[in-house]
Amino acid sequence: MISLSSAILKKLLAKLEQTTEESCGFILGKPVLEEDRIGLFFPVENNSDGDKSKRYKISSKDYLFTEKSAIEMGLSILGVYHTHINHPAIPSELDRKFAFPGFHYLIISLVDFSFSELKCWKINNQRKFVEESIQFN
Amino acid sequence: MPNVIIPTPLRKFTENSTQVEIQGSTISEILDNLSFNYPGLKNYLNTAEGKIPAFINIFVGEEDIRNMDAGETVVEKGSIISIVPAIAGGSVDEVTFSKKELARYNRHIIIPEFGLEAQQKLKKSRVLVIGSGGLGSPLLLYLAAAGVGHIGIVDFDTVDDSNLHRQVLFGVAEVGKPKVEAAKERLEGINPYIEIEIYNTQFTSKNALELVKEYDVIADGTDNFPTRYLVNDACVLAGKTNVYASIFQFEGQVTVFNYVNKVGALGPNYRDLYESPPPAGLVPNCAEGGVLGVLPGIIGSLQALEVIKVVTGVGDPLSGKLYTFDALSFQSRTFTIKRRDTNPLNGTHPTQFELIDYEQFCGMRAVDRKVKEMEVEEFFERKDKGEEFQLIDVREPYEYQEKNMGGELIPLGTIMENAHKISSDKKVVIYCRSGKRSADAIQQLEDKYGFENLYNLKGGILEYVVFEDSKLKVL
Repeated sequence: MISLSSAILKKLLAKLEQTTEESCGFILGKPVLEEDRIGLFFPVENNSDGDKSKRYKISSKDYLFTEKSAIEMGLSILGVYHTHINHPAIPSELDRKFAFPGFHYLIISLVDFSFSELKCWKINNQRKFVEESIQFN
Repeated sequence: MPNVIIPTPLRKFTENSTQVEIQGSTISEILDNLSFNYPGLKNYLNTAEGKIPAFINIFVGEEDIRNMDAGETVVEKGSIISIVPAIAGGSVDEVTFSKKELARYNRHIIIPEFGLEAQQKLKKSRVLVIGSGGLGSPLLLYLAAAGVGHIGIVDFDTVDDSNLHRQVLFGVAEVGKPKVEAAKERLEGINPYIEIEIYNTQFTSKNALELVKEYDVIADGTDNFPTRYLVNDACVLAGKTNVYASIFQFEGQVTVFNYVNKVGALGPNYRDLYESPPPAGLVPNCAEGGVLGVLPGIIGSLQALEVIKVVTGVGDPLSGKLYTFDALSFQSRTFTIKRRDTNPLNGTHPTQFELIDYEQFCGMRAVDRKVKEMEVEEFFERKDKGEEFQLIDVREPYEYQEKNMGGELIPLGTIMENAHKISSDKKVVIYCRSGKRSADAIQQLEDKYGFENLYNLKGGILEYVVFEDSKLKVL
């Protein structure tokens, strides 16, 4: 399970809603008991060489930089967020192919430049996505 | 030894080490040794096929091994190897075809109204076929051949020789094998470019919604009312289109239920056609009533056609229309079906919001339960050894007069009122002409009175006659 404060989500959404390209970044936070608590969103550049309105990619350089920053802040990388533009918050086959076991994948769907839905997913051992509940606080 | 830098999410498997020394002269060797030393890493470093998974990038120094010799990249003693999660994805999957696939589907692609776009939709689609028997055979063969990218098959049955006159998916070599396994092998032989997922289980109220939700379109090829209502209700509750077909003796039907058309209007479903099931026993299934072998071939092919139309959006699917075909007169008719206000699932006042017990609803079983059996030879062997049996004949008196094997005559129609005559402590062997009526008697007795000592004489009197003849020959 993952928990998140609505205040930091609102801040993130305000930035995401303005773009026509998929946005992406890391979710940093701390595991507290059974729950992974999101502390902050760490936006990085969409480095895809394809059509960025339906593709995203995070460079290894950005990963390594984020990892270093997280350690300095005393946080861990809990997963990744990205947006789906005019498309539901359901993982695509490409999302599945690259899903890293143990990471939370937060997908934010934007329809006509405004927030539509938010879903969180985790890949299981059969490499199928399972939806997770999100606790707001 | 080369040094491997472990990313934070994987450090829990390396006792929190950020960097480990691992022996090996190529990346593959190093990854193998790494998984060996830290078994928790195996799922992260190797796919089921033994390849490096897409979700990690591996660098030697600053260079991605994909730009070098991938797994065969040679590393030196002091090299620094970094494992980094590869993070990518997107919203819409682009469907692409290999050269071989394009050649395979060429005759589809060159039809102007169909084209590459429809072929892409087929490849992207997920179709669940429930039942891989008479209808399922042609249906699956054509869906696989046409290039439906993901096909699910649900069936719990095994291939029987008596299936082969109509279930053209199977051959003699598959008799005794689970149908789903035989089907998967055959379909993969036809089209290696698609994925087939099999469920060797009965489709029930417990697993229906879970299965249905994984697919875009459902094709019902079942042969009994409880499962038909179940498939329909699961599709309506999950919002999936149900491409329906059924056959009986010389007649077949096809329609498309719960289809949302291009302007967003929802079509009728099975409950609009038949709100509740016919009285139990009025309509027999193929096993009881028989079916002309070629008929499921015709109707199942029409069903495949409708699945392809629904998936691709080419043409007008048979939504709101029931097509019927009479093989004897060669007459086909199309009736209009409309949504009804009284539909319990999605009428004006719905009353049913979840799946129910469909066997109880229809007053019949979805699947004939197997009864215990005994071979004629085994019966006589045990009897000769002194084992005691009660032997009961459930045929009619005229049949009994013609030939019998000394059983007590209690015709099937009177078995329930004579249940007190049946022993509940010693083994009771029940027979009829072929074993069908006696199996029916045993099921009724077990259901109503809880008998556990009843055995069906396999093959009945017919088998007894063969047995006697063989003994004579030996003498």
